[in-house]
Amino acid sequence: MSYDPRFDRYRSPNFKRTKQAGDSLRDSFAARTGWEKPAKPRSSGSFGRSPQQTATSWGRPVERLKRSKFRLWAVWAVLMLGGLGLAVNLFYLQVTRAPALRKQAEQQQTLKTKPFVPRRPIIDRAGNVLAIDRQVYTLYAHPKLFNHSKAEIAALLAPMLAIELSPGTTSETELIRRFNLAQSGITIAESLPQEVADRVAQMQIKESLVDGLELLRQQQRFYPQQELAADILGYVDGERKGQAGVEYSQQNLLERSMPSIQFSRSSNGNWVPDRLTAGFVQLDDLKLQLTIDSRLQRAARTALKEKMKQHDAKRGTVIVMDARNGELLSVVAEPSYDPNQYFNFDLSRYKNWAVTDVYEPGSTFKAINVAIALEAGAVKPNSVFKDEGRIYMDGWTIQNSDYKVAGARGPSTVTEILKHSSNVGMVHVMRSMKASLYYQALEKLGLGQTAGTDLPFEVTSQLKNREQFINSPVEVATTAFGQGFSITPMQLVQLNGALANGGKLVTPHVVRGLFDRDGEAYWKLPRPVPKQVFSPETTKQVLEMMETVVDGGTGKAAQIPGYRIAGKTGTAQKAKAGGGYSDKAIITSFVGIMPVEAPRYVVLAVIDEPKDGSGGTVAAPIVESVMEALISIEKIAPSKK
Amino acid sequence: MTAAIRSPDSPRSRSGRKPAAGPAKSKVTSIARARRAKTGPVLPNYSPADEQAQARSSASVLKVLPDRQQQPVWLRSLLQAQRASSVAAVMLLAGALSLYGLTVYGEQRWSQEYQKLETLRLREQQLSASSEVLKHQLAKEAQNPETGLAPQNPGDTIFLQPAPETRSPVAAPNSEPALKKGAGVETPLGY
Repeated sequence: MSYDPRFDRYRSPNFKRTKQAGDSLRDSFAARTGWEKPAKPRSSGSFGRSPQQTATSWGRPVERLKRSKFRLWAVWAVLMLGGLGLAVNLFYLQVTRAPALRKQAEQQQTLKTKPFVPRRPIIDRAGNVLAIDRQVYTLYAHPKLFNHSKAEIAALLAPMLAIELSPGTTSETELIRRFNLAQSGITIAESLPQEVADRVAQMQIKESLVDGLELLRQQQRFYPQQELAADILGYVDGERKGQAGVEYSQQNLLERSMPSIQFSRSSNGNWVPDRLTAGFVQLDDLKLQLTIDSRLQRAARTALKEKMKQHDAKRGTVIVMDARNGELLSVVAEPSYDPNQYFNFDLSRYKNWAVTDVYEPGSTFKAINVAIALEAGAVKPNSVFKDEGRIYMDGWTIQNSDYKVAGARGPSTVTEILKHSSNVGMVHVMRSMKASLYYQALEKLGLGQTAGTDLPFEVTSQLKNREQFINSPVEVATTAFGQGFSITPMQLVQLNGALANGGKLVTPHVVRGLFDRDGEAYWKLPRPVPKQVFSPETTKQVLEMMETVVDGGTGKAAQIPGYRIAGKTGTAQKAKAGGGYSDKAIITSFVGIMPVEAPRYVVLAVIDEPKDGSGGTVAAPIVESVMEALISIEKIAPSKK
Repeated sequence: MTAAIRSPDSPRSRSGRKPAAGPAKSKVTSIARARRAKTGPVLPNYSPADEQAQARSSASVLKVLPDRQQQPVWLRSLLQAQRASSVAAVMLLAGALSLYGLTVYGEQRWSQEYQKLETLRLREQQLSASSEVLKHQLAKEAQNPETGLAPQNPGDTIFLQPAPETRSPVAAPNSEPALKKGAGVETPLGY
């Protein structure tokens, strides 16, 4: 073993250096690296073999040292150059192009969206869902991405979709026609329910999924009961804004507020929220509860539709109110519409005419007038007035509707006047009090104002101005039998509610408030304190008078055996657009209050322009069937044998 | 690491210590010195035969191994600091990796669970909508007289008057639970 300085290590004594092998190794290295040009004479290179050098081979390590030093420098230079290059590039990317790149990255990796937050559902008083959001899909086709023939796709797609057909085409040919319309972005179907969308998404031809079909998800308001409560609910348009009914008036209660969240893409490609806002995951489970009873609503709509068809009426409305607190159990207006397909209906149907239109109430208002007169102390229930059947006033003829049949009734008590709905009698009753006091009382009842409901677009009732009313005796006379002024059906219910609840003017409303899953009230609509407009004695007397109307007067059709029902019919001439009254067009109505011993429910039916009939024959039967439904639903026990 | 393998008689460390005995007198020579001697300038008359002979003689040289005890304080403290910092670095690295792993896992879990939540919400909506549609269908069908269903009529309804509440002594044994219930608010039993 000896020390070899060239290798800086010990080697065994029998080691023999073989030049040949070492050189070939070097040559191969040189060839590999290309550092040594083969054309150059070998002697000039560091590996050269001059004859002297072969003789004194121990001079080579010096050259080798130089050579390795050069190599070291070369490697250093390469590394440094590389490092410098990297540094320059780093500077270029991190400083020069940084803002642009950062922006690009943000665009690609973040997604700022407002999450899809469903509108709060609307439920009825029993918890049945009246309006709810659901996911629907729009199907788009991009034929340029199709991986199957158009015919194949159309054949598969056709049975899944309900496509409107023009005559002479099948849904398949119709689909192919649409596929040929453009290269991409063809709308094939809208509002596809989840089930259909799932089937379309998993559609396969020869065990390969179909490309080129796109399903876009969106939220749509869905009304499972269709037109049942359309007049109250309204509808939500394509921009998710309520456009009528409660959807419009309670927009702020129905919309869940949600800040937009920023998502960023995580390493595995999922979207993760960047900054979580409180309440993002926990959607509240609040529902907007209405006071409406779906069963009663259904019964009312059925009864109204039937009568309207029978009498070929233009329109009609039924309102049921709980007079104790003003809760509306049912509001029906016909003709109505299906809010799921609101776009297929005429614009005029969107309004609920029970609050948006006024009409001259006619005789249904007589009960209110009697209450005013009783309250003012001008008359007593048994005060007697002479009913001539027909009187003349300021050049106007005022006569009873049954004048041709009954003629002059002669002396009648206030009760009898109401029972037979005598116009002349009412004129005498109301003229027994001062016109200014009468006007004051009407104003106190809220005439000239709205009923204050939570349904939108309510209009104010119309009353003549004070001077005109006081100075013209005919104004008082016409107002006495419910003409010459106009109110909304809703306000008439409100006024009759005051007769039912002992004289308090409650606010009719449909919204109960926001309730959570357990039925706990989260928020309730504030209600004004009811105003006392009649004394309980007055209302009791008027109700008893109204009971005679149903028992033996004009409202016999509203009788229900076993129950005490108060009511008042109304048949009013309709005012013509150009002034004066129409000869044929009438508006019939009936207002019923039940049960008389403990008055609670007010039911009003108004039928506009029936071809024949009167309040007693058209409207009273509707009220009767609604009350029957009400008795079953509210479990009201009979009080009469 | 280089400090640990450097021989203690390197020029710097040797200066502070007693000079070693000359190579002529003693056979004890450090490896470094031997190495220096051999890698010194190559003489022109240097021959492999000479070198072999010299190498053979130097094979018997006793080499001094570095003495741990004689490491200076500053070196030892540096070594300790290095060891401590290595441990800290490894721990930090492990912590960082696990934290990163947890974050990624958390994100993944979050998006999975969120998707689950979305699906459940969707199902809830679908279910309540379908049940309402069903109700509506039933109500519509019920209006058809062929189904034999009729709206409830007060004339067909039997109203039962609730029996007036009577307190008979016979009912006393049955009213035990009621007594227990009321015991909390009423006067104690036995009085």
